Amino acid sequence: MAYMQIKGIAKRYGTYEAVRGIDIDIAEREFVVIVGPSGCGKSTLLRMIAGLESISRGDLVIDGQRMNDVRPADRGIAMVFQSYALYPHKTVEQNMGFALKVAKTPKDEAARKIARAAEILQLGPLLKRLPKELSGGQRQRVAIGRAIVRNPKVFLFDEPLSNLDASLRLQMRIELAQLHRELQATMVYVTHDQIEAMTLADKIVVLRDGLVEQIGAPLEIYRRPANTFVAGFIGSPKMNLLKARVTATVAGQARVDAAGLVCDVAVDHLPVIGAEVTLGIRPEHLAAGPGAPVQVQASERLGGVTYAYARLPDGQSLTVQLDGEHDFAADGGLTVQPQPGRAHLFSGDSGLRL
Amino acid sequence: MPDSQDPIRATWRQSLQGWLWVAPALLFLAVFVYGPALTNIRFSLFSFSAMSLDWDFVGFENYLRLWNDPRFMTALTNNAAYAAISVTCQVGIALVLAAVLEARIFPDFSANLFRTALFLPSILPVVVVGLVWQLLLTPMTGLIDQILWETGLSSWSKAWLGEPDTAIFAVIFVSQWQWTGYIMALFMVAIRAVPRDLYEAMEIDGASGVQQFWHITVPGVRETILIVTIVTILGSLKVFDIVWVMTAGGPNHASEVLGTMMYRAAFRDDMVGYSSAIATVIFFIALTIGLVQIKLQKDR
Repeated sequence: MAYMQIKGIAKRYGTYEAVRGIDIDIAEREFVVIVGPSGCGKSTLLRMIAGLESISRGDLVIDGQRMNDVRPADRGIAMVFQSYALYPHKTVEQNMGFALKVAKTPKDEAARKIARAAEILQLGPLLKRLPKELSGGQRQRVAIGRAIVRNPKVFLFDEPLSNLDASLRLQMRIELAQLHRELQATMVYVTHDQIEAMTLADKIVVLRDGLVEQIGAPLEIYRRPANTFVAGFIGSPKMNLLKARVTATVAGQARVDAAGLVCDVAVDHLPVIGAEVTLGIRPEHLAAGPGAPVQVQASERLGGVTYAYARLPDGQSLTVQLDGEHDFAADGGLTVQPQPGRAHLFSGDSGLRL
Repeated sequence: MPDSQDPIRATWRQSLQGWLWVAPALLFLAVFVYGPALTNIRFSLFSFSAMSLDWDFVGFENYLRLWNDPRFMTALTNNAAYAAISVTCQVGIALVLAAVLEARIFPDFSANLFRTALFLPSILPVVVVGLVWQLLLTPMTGLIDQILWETGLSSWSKAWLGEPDTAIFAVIFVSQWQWTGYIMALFMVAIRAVPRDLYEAMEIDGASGVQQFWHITVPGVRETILIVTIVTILGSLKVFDIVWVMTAGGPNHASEVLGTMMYRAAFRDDMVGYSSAIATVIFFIALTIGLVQIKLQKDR
């Protein structure tokens, strides 16, 4: 049985349902990232797990115990907030030790736990400082330290890196991954950043409008997105989603044509010839070469790679990842070909993977 | 060389411009605040009545007389009691009430009703409040006495405003009734500015409501606590209207405060110099408290 079970959980505010019945099983020591756009209900779900929001419907089970009506402090969880929520009038040491003080932990044991957390997070020299005397990254570490000292069954992170600048975010991402390895703890992490999801997660849960769109390992979601929403959300730059028509089918494979871009795609459900479908192909799975003609509208040279923002003859937009040194023709003309076996096909009506 | 003088001239011009901007306010303050305050100190060194043409310079005699006036010590003690009780109620109790109402313990409707009920007395004129409470506190026929009789506490019945031991405390009580809700509203605004997730972090850390109050609310609103405390103390020092309406300093000057004493000296006994001496004492006590406030705020 899963260590933590989210069973049909929903959250209703008046007539509006922010979370509409979500099921997730989380194994012990698993790092689960809940990802989705703003307003998809991911933070609400995390707050319900923490006990900061009541659960309107469904069950939350942690380590075999139903937690719906258990107060936050007794759920065996610790939470790292987006704003860090450090107690501004307490030192780093007092911030980390507060929960232990409330729980009347013996002083020497509390000191030992604080020292260990400080060692893991390299906070030793900062213990006597106030939060206002720390940098953003240091504050983030204190917030994590405050969670560590409680030795929780489950760590909850609510967009913990979104207030940091890009370089610090990368560094903290690496540190979080190391921390997970070191602590071997169960972690539930909410973010809108799909890069954080891809790099940190053992398992990604993609949410939209209060419902689960797909659950799976990062590469599984990247390689086999369940629908056009997941396909467009996971991966950077976004996957190209093109209107196409099925021109031929053989066993387990369909040939589609999107305004001249012809592609053979492996499918589980064969569409009928002539059906309107959505062809999904990531920019990194297109290459310059003999194939469909496109017109480049703009390009971004990042050094190692170049992104070409182009249009197909029928006006559909298409992003292509090219070699960093690629030379464009003076008239902006380019021909592209898809890498074999890398394209995806979705139903034109439901958007579901075929 | 003219080049090197230019910046100085520019700075001077800038500074002149600044002074010109503040000049109207400064002039107003000088004529209506600083001028009268200094003139009052000068008046306190003379003995004269409002109508007299002859002013006798008496030096510090008015202050000496004040020091030896038993009413002065009564008034000072009453003002101190006023301040102490006001700080306890208007800062202490109002803060607790605000924290309870903001903690979302009660349903929104009850919390709003309670907040409105507590706030309402502060919008009433002091004279109205004084007169209404005078009626309520009337022995035998007043509502308070009737309640005491009806509930079998008739032995507690007394002329609250007519006895020297209770008069000032009855007035202080009415003042708390009027202003605690107002201060509570100020604290509610301050508490709302404290980030919500600090309380949530505390909740996850297992802190009780009381612990959240001491560890988040109190430090989070301490600037407001400081300002409200100082304003309340200064208000208690300057109090006049409610005392004058309810007891006029009686019975037998038992509920006299510095404000009523000063008013009586100036407008009843026509001793303007003596009254000015009282005003000067109030001024210097208030100034000291004000300076302490500025010092405390700078220390933050």
